[in-house]
Amino acid sequence: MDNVIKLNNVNKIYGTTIKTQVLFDVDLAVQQGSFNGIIGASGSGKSTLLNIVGTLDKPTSGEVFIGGQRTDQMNKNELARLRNETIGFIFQFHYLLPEFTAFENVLMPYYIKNKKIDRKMEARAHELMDLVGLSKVKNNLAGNMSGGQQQRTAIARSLINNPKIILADEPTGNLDSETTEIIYELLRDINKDFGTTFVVITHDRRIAEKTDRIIEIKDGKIYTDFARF
Amino acid sequence: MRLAFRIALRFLTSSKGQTALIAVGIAVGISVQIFIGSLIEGLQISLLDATIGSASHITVNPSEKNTPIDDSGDIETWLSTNYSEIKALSPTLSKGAFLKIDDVTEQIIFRGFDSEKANTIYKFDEAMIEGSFNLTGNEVVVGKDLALENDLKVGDDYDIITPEGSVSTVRIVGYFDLKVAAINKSWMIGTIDEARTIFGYEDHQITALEMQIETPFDADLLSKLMISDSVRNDISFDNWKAQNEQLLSGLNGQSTSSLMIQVFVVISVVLGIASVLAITVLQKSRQLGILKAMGINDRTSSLVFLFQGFILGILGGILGIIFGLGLLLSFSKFALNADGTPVVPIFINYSFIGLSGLIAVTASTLASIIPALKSKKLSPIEVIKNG
Amino acid sequence: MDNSNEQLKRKFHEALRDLNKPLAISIIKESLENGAITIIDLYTEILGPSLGSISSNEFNQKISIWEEHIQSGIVRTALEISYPYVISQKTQSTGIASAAIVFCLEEEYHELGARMTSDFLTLLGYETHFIGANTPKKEALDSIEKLNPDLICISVTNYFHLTRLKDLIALIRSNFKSNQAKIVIGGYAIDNTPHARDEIDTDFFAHSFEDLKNIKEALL
Repeated sequence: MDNVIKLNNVNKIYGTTIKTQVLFDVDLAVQQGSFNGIIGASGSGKSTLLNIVGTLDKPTSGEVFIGGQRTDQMNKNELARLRNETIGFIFQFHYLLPEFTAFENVLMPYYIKNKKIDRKMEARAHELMDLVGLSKVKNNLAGNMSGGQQQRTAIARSLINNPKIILADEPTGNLDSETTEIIYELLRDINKDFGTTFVVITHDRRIAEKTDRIIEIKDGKIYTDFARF
Repeated sequence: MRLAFRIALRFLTSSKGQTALIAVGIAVGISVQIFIGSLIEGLQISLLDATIGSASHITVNPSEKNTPIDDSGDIETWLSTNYSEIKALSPTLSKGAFLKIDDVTEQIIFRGFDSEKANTIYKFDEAMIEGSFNLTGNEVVVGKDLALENDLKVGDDYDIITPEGSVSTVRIVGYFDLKVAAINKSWMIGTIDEARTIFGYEDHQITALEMQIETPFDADLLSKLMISDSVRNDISFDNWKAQNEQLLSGLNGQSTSSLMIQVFVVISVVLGIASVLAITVLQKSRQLGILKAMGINDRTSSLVFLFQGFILGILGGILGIIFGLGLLLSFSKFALNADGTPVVPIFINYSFIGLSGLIAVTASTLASIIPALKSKKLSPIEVIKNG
Repeated sequence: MDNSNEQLKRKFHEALRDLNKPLAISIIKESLENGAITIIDLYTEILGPSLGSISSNEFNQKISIWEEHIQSGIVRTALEISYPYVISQKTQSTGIASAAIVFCLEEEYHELGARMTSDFLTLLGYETHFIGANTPKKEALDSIEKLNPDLICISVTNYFHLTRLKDLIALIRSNFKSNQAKIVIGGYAIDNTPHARDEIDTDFFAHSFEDLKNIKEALL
């Protein structure tokens, strides 16, 4: 299987006068279609790693390849297009646009990509919202929904452009355990059905122990890395 | 473009209170600008109308004082065929004389006119308060003050004595009020033929040729042109501007200060919008971060703010025009003179108002450049990291 | 595996599948009573593989979790009734008996493999203390200090705990530098995670009675 994500010797240093090194020579390869968990204490550098993989942040040195394309040398607009087409994000705090309805939020990445929405795409958005169990609240403003609903909206949104990779940072971090279970099962189903590669930061043992691979980050380095088949 | 517009519109409609506040802010600025601009313009127009509306813009005088201009018909023909800017042309024979009333004599200026031609400049028929401006033979009309102070009666005959000593009899058939005290006190108007008879001038002789032109402010240029075109050296061309320098500098000062006020109002509007929009970038930085993480490019994210400025400008412009017109209307309705006429006649210049609307749109779009650049610089990671 | 063990295994698995506890336990009891099977064979060929199939089921979810729990309960009872035979079958220790502790990591509830390991160690003549499932780090360190074992055996079933295992081993090594105790790691997670053996810094890996026997011999 191909490596859809590849990091070679990635270092990340913050600050110019007072330098803080957050990542040290990280090498990482993630296989297409795998479901990966990242664990680590807060401040270990795991979010920085995810942000670099997601091209939201740039490494201070080292190479980053997403879907075979080298990203650490791309300009802002090239990165924006790559993110739009290849990567779906699910964050702990949902990050929906509160001014738009759940349905519009789901379609937003497609809108950014194609500038207009056709019927087929609207049908797909409806389908995705059914998939995440949001049929009844489609037209609610994102700001007026519960945490679980917002998170499911964010999941549907991350899927709309059919990305190769979904990156999630504590996707169930502030949800109750029952909702956590539902969201996790949903992510797993998507992984199985669409072959989407997942990289999920989690501190939740129940989620971590169900991933294909657990990568533990400690002090900016990969401390343990266990995968099972 | 469409996406940016849609997002901008949604941002604005989702916080209606704030949007309304900004639009009203722009509107107040623009309405003040429209009000001041229109007021000053109206003021100037009425002042100018009072000054030169019923006066000669360019006057042909003899080079040598107190000598007649010969062959006046030739000059008239030459002027009317060569200068299309001239809208009224009136020959006159004016000289000082004495009016004998019982035992006293009153100094007057006798002005002989071709009544039809003179009417286009002085609008005597409108100025008549008694009798009519329809003179034949030795009929004359006099200024209101001259008549009242000396108890002159319509229909009575009076003697006029020229400085040379000859006496002629005229009949007063009416009074006029030209709203200028000096004129009302001293003018007596008769036909130009009667004047020639009284003062002993020949048929081709006059003392001055008065004209009004299309654009009174070009009087100095046009008179210069006439001077250089003219082949005669016994006549001179005088324009109203040369004789009213003080008024002109007053008007100029007023125009400048009006412009200054307008410019500062617009500047304060621009600064206001810019600072409010700069704050909305902060307010919406989370949303921008999300959009950028989802792959919106810098151009589109900047356009969101330009569109916000543009939409606010249109809203504020329309509102401002409505406010401004309302203000002008109420001012002309409620600020009145004792006789019911407005204190300042309001002059509504549609192209000026249109320009103000355009200024509102341009200014607020320009004001959104800074926030637009700010949003371009915003990196999604800042938002994601700081929650 | 000889024929009679094969037959026993089949019968036990059928009873387990049918969730028939009385039958399953009587099959085991009978075989132990009449000496048809040794503890080593019982654990290695019958109970161990049963546990393995239950563990792997977790990832395939062919049967539901409550069924798994019933099956684990049956295996647990089978282990309980085996203990008297463990004592009777153990080799008499020569000279001073070596001590061993066996436990699972915090939040690891799969203790049956660890139990079999501790019985194997008893059979091998170790003075064995089975601490059990879900042992907090601090307790594990405390038991090492008090019991001063020669062997520290840790069983890991869920592969998530491999990440914690690494920390614990480092902690044991830094806390007991002068201690001669050897660390032995085993369990389903070790056998089913490809790089686990490369990543974990331990003295021994064990996954069968034979492995434990070899470790004992190596340490003599």
